Amino acid sequence: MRGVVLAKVVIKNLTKRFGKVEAIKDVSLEADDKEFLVLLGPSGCGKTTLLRCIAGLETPDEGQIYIDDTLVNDLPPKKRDVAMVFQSYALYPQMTAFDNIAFPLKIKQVPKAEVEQRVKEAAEMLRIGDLLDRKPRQLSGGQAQRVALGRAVVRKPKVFLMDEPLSNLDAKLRVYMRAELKELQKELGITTIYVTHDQVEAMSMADRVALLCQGILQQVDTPEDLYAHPTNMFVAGFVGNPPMNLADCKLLKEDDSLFLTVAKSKIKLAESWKEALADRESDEELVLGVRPEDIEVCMEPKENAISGEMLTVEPLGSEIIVNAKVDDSIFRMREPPEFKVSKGLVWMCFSASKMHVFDKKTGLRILPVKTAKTA
Amino acid sequence: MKAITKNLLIAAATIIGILIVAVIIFPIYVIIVSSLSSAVSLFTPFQPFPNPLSFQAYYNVLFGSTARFFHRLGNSLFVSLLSLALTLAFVIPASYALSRFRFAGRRTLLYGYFAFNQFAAGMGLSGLISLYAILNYLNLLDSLVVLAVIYTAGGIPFNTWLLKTYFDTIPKDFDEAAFVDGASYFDVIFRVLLPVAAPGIATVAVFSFMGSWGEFIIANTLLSPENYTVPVSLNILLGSPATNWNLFAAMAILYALPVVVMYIIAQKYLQAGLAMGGVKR
Repeated sequence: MRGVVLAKVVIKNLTKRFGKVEAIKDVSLEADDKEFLVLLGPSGCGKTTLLRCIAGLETPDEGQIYIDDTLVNDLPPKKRDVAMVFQSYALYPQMTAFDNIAFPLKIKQVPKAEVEQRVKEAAEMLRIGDLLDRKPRQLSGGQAQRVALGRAVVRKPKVFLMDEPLSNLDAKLRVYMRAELKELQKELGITTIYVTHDQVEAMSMADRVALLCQGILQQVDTPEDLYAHPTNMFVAGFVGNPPMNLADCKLLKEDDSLFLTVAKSKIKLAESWKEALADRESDEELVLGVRPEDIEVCMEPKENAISGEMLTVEPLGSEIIVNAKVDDSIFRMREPPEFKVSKGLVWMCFSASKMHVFDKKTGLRILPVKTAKTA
Repeated sequence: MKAITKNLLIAAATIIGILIVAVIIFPIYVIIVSSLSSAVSLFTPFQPFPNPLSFQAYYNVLFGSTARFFHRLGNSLFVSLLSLALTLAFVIPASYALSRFRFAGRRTLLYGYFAFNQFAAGMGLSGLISLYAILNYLNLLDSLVVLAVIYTAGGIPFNTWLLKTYFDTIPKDFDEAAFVDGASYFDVIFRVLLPVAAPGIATVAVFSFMGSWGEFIIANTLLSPENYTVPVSLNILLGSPATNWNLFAAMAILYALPVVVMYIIAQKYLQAGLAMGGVKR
């Protein structure tokens, strides 16, 4: 639709304060040309503030923002060539859908014939051609959402900024719109930065996910790597549903072998851990993490398994979520639908390669030598 | 049992409501009847219907030589519309700024406005005398433009508060969406917010117009007969030499008509809820 424009967004050491509260702390991040980058994190983590800084609706206290290699810190929103879709849609209530979509073009004083053509193009793309003469109050949530997207698309901007655009839709429509939005972004090839607190949305749509917590960037990675190689306990616990099981454990060094003790269970560590844990004392506190789907629930005692007490099961049709109590924490496991429910003691078995170990103090992941991956 | 009690309560409330409305409407009814009677005295027993029916009083007000009604209606309209225009010109940008920006002295200004209103009201007659003295010194007495400016100045604090409160209810998302879409402050205020704020602006317009239209004391103090507004000329009908009550009543009704028209026009905009639907909350 537009000529060859490399719209890369580069954020360098960005800090934003509101009074004494640091909403964003020294964040550096890049969104490549045509990339779908999702800013993910719990409420209040600073993701929307970061998006608003890129849009020019907030002024950062420190750091630089570059769009297409131009420093935009001091440029007003209208000079940044970005389009934003708001969580509330922010459709102008007095204007029809057509006028809403045409608004940015009319502001730019685009000739009337071209405005009409471009609005129609955008409306066709979003399949809202028959809604153009309606006012926002006559539109359903999904339709209003499309009009808001239309207002962004019609501009052909360098960058799309989207602030939780699907959060007001019902669950079914949200799933549908996710796929549609992703397809639209690929079709248009416009760099997109998308904010959400919904990790499923992030994982299913993003080329890469940037996970934030309390204003600090935790990890930027593809959805697959974020899931498989979390850099710290926060990422491990935030991504995945149910999230990764995290249990306090202690390192045990015995006769040249390494073990982790979890409650009353003892798990032997492979050779590959030796180097990584060499300078740690025996009895040092660590955290063991295992994904729910990597655990097999056994009814008989097994070696290198964690014993626990069966609590409840949640049958979901395609799978069963099994809850078991290990000391004070609850382990959640994803089991096949034919899983036989029983009571009493169970043993949670998992392959050593599926195990994650974290430093309890720093929260950082400790990597075994063989599968070492720099995040 | 419950249903009966509820119905009784509704019936009682309705009767009380009708009585209150009757008390409010009765003086207006008396004025209408008086205006349509040939000659009335306040001291003759009240007649519920004009007998005989006569439009003579209206004819005398509109076309009689003493009342100069159209001239004075023109004066009133000039002052009220000028004051309305000036009020909107100041109040719209000021209330937008006070609603949307956080700047040094904002709170002081807002509460200063409020204090000024109370203070000015408390000053009463002494304020009027000093106003007269100042205008006399500046040679600005007897000017309709000056009168409009005085009305505007008096109305700005209250109207700014009113519209600022209305702007506060309009989500900031509208402004921000427009800014990102390339709009300037001017575009945001005039193309996006004003239509959304129409009910608030209509309210300010009605208050401003009514304030100037009905004001008597300042107009009576500052103006000479040539520049009299309608309330002042209504006043001179009283007791000169004996009050002609049907003439007075007819002029009062003609004087009230533009206000009724104004309400009818503004009503369309006064309906709230225009801002709903554009944002999902």
